[in-house]
This record gives sequence, structure tokens and C-alpha cells, in this order.
Amino acid sequence: MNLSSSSVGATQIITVEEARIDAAVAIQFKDRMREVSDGGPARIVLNLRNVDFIDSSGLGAIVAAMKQLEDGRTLDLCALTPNVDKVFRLTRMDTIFGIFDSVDDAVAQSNS
Amino acid sequence: MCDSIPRSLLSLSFQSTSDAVRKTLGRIAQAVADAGQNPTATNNIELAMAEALNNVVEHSFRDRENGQILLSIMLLEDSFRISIRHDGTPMPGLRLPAGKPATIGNEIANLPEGGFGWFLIRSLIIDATYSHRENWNELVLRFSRHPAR
Repeated sequence: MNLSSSSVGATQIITVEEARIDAAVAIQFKDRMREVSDGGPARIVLNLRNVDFIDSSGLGAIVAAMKQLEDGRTLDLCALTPNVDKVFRLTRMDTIFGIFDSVDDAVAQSNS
Repeated sequence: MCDSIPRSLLSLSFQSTSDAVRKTLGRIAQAVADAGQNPTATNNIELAMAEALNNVVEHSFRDRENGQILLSIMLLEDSFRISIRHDGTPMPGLRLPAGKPATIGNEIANLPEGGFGWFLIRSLIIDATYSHRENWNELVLRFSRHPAR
């Protein structure tokens, strides 16, 4: 499970460098998220641009990644492809996360 | 004639592991796309099948590593009929789950990390039937055909 990380101001951008977040990698994803986000800034934006398939195990892993953050830290999402957006909408999880069209939009939000 | 309906699009068996499920999902998506299903509807089938097959791996074969799952896809006039057969642990109560949406609530600490599977399946199918005979379970899911234009 490849994740890459960069910082823009006080926001950490974590980009999923895989096409799928599914049952086969859900636990790895959650563990890698913990490693990559450890000690970082309060706000994390998860960039899902490269992900074209997610199942409920992958969705659960993203929820778990948010729940494992220390108090005061947030996890927003950006660049959902249509297949990923569909899973968030069907399960109503789109009401829980801040969701932005792009990294730029997500970063602009934290500056405003 | 090879384009006759009904016809078999895919028939295979695979091990009850999440890696084998992932590989099989690729075969399923390819088979229905080759039969003319549009990309969005193909993803709907792949998603519902991911949920159904992961449930088999995680629940029916929780205590067995060498479980085998049989899968077949039939192309019908207006639908795809996909059958999943296995001899693992049956569905609780020998019934399909209702698939109620998981309760989300407001507390991040209490957000559900699972329990979405059958809700997603029921959102994406025409119907589902389950039978259990002589130690064999069969789940049949039907999906509407949505040809690409």
C-alpha cells in the first residue's frame, strides 16, 4: 500500500498511490495512514485521485484512519473519482467527511 | 450462434482469500464489460460482487484457509445472473441479511467501520436469492443490463 505525503502550509496532503482500497489492503492502509500521519499537522487531506475502486472494507479503513487520529486532528478527502464518490454517497459517509474537488480546493479551505 | 441468450460468460473456482477475490473481481468486470455493460454499471456489479465475495471469505470461511468458491455468470435477455457457490458456514438463520443502512450518528468515535456490505449489495441488484442444500450454499444475484451507448 503506497501512500505519499507532502505539506502545504499547515495541511498535510496524503496521496494514495494505488488504484484500489479494498479488503485485500484495508488493514495495510489503516496501518500506513497511522505511520504517515504520526506527528504531522492538525489537518490532513487524503487525496483519492488515483483510486478507482473502493469497497466497504476500504471505506471502513478510511473511517478507522480518521478515528485513530489524536484529538483535535481532522481528516478531509479530495479528488474522489465517480466510483469512490458513489460508495461515500450510498453509505451516507459523505455527510461525515469534508470532501473537496481537488487538492487546491482543500488547501484553499484551510487558508480562508 | 455464439451470441445466443442465455449464455455463460464466465465459470470459475478460486480460493477463499482476499487476493483471489480481487483477481476474480477483475475477471467479472471484464466479462460484463465485454458483454456490453457500460462502465458505471460494470463498477456497480464489481462493487456488489466484492461485498458478497468478501463476506464469504470473512464469514463462511473464517476458520478454513482452503475454502473453494465457485462462480458463474449467465447473460440473460435483460440481466446478468451471477451465482456464488461454496460449502462453508451458511448464512445465519439460513436467510439473507436485511441490509439496513448502518447508523452513522454524530460522534466520530462511534462511527461504524463495517456493516455496509449487504446495504450496498441491495442498493445495486435487482434481487438476491439464497439456498442451502446438502452443505452447499448458493447465492444468486441479478443485475440489470445497461448497455454502453
